[in-house]
Amino acid sequence: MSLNGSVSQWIVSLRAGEVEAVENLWNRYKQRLVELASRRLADSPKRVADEEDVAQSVFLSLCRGAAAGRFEDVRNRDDLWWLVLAITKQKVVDLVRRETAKKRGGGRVLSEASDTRTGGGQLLALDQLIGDMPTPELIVMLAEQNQRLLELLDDDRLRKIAVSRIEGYTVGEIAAELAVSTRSIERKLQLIRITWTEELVRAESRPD
Amino acid sequence: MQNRDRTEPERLAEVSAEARIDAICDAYETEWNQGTHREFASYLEHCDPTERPRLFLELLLVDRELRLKNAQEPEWLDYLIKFPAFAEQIEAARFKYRSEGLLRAGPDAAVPEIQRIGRFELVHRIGAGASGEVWKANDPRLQRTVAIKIPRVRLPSENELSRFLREGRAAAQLKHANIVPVYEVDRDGDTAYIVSALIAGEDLRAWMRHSQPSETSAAELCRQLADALQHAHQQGVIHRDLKPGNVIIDEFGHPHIADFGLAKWVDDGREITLDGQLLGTPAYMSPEQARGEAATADARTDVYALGVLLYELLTRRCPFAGGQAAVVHQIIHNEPQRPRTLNQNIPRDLETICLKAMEKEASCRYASAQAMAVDLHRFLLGEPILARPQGFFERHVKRIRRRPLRAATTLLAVLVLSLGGVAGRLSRENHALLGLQTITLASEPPGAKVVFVPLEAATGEPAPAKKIRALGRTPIQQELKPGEYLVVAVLDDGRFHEVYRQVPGSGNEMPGVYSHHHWLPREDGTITMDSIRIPDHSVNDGMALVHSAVPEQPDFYIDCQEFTLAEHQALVGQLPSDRRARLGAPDSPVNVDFDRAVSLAEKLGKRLPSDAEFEIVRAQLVTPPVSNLAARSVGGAHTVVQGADHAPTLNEIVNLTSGAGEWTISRQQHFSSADRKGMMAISADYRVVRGVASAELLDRSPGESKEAYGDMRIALPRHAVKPGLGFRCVRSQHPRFMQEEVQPPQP
Repeated sequence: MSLNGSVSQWIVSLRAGEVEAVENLWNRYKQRLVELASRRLADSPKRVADEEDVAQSVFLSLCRGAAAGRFEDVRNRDDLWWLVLAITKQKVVDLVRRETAKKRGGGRVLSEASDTRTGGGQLLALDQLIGDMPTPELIVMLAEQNQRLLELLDDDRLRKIAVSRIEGYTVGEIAAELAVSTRSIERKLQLIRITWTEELVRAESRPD
Repeated sequence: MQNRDRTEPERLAEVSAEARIDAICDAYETEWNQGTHREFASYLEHCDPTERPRLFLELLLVDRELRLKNAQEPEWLDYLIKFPAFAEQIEAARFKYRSEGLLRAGPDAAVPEIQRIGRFELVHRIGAGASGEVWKANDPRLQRTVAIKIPRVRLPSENELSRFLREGRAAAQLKHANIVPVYEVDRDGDTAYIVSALIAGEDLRAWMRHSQPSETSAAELCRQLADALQHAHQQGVIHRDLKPGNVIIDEFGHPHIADFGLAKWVDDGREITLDGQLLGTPAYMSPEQARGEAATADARTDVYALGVLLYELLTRRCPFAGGQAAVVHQIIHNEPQRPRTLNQNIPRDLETICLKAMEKEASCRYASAQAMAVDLHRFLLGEPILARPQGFFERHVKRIRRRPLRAATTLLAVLVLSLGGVAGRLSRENHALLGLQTITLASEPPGAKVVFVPLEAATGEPAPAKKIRALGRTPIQQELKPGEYLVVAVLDDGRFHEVYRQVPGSGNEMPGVYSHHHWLPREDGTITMDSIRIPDHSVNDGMALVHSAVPEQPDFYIDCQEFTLAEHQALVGQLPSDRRARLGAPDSPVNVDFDRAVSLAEKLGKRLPSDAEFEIVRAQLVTPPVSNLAARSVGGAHTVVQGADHAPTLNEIVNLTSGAGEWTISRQQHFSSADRKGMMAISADYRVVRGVASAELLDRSPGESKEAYGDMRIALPRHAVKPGLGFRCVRSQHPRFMQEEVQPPQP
């Protein structure tokens, strides 16, 4: 029916044992992510001054959600965050590839590059996504990606829904906040998913 | 993945189609809220025909939600009538509402859309899987916390739904300490659900991660499970999917089996993927299930699964490993590795029990869960188990069936070498073919002559014409046909005992607990019955002699009162273990079931009266036969009272017809009252109870008429334990059926 089927599958298809494993990975990953994020925010006086910009950040939403303890159970996570992470990782890989080509081996090899499978016709599995601890480079990329991903969405309401969802709010809470039916929120989340999945496919198939 | 198979324009087209659908739905919702909306079908006109089904579904879902919010409950049928062309979408929406919609909310999500199902208030979700979800819920009517399982059964037809409810109600009949009680099974609209007890604990799989049970506790755990299975099987309920995930270990370490008889519903949709692969672990699947003969699954299918469970508890590994296809293949074709090769500490008997339960052929396994429970129990008591370890021959016979050529050559070679040794065993097997069993029987003291009087299978009455006189004196060996026997053993000095014994038939029969049903199979193929303990003459002390006026009914002694708690304490060294049986003062009668009564009577050196004997005593009490009593009171010719200061008279018989019920040895057989004569249906599982009709006895078993003097004659199931239902003993004055062997002592 839509592009997002495969992405949802990441979470749905987890078996009992895998959930536990991914949960453990996620807990370590999340901790490190929040740590790096707060350091980056502290290190970037220019960006912090631009409150609005930072507040719109997908990445910051995630950090807020994580800090609020919303992401304890991997299965209850919406797949939007995984999409954002997958797209970002893909971008990092592409970046490394370009740098390496430019400098003929002089570029730094990022840990993501060694582990992330690209072009294999297979979306990354959850444990591959968070198998490596986030690096400062990934954090930089995450922060930059968010703006672009939000721009892909047609209107502010969609952006607001995407950010809220990544922050860990439930469909019911978002529907109440926006005073629309829950089905409309689900429908719009689906629209966001296929829009971003399209971006992911594009990023994977055109590493230029 | 779908998105990779498409070209970029196709993908972009889908994104923009989704966006258009979203916009139209937004318009509908906005106008609905403003009250300016039209019939939602009219919104379909503006979109591309290829997008209409998708748009219809979305509009329908929004429409339904808006109406529900405004307390309108639209019927699915109304949509169908209005939009027959979109039946598929309506069905999809209905399904979404039933399963997904209900189950969307996670523990930290917002309030679920549906907060109650039936009368139950859902509290939070305990677990979820492809098969369905489990919720903790409150039952406001009974004010208790329950677990509600909502199976994800796809669009059940009315037929399926009613089958689900029927089978669920069968499961709800099961009452056993080791079965998770199912309280009810019901439906709420299209959603079927199962309400059961909420048991604090974890499933066996999780439990095994941190617990390393000893061999003994593994056996005890499986014994309890076998007991529970037996209970369910007796009610006609087969589990079919016993596995660690279905066994909950409570906080005290007791196992509880869940999902009885409902496994196929609970697991619906999970079993087979699109390419026909089995999902989940097939490790506990029986060979017949693996062969796809699920319809043949019976009690022995559960016995197999329990065998695998025992295997895993003992060895900490599954008997068959590998991919799913490999496991299924091994289940059908390979013998499991013997547990003792994996862990030397496993007792040999326990390994034998485990492997017998896991036999490929159902007919080679324990015939029932009870049979397995009995062997596990014997193992735990340190008694010899009944299952025989698989010998060299059996192993090869089985291998021949599967791999004829290779195994046959080996077997031939061995056969030639060992033919001699087999001969003895073969002759015994011939006897078995004729239906004869070789039994051995001893007595204490030894040296008694023995007569076996078969009990007629149809009536349970002794058949003197068919009696068999054993050669020699105890201990004796005798070939007997399977069946029940009255066994009379007489010593030369006149001491004797009359007991009941059973000769088992096919190998599938299991020995009972009490001596009259108990036996032990021996290595050489013979069967040993429980020894007969012959009482001293003093056994008659305190009993009253009853002179029978009926020629075919010999005289007998009868106890003056029912067997009491104090006597039980003196005889067995403790009060009855059954709580119901030990209520009351020391001199109150013991309430026991029939077989226990038979067993206690035998221990006392006595027996239970027959219905006819009871009737003779009752008749004499009603109209005392003066001459008989006179004869008795002067120490008549038939008195064999020794060492008694006082020989009681019939008049001292207490409560014969004013107490409550007393067991007799007789089956419900014939009745005669003023207006009717005839035969009652004879069941091996019922026995005649005589005495006075009490409310407790009659309320549940409206039997035959109460006659004058409160006389009662009803049939009760032999396992019945009821207040006021006890027994008193009798004893033949002379050993019966022994006229040729023993001359009555002459005065």
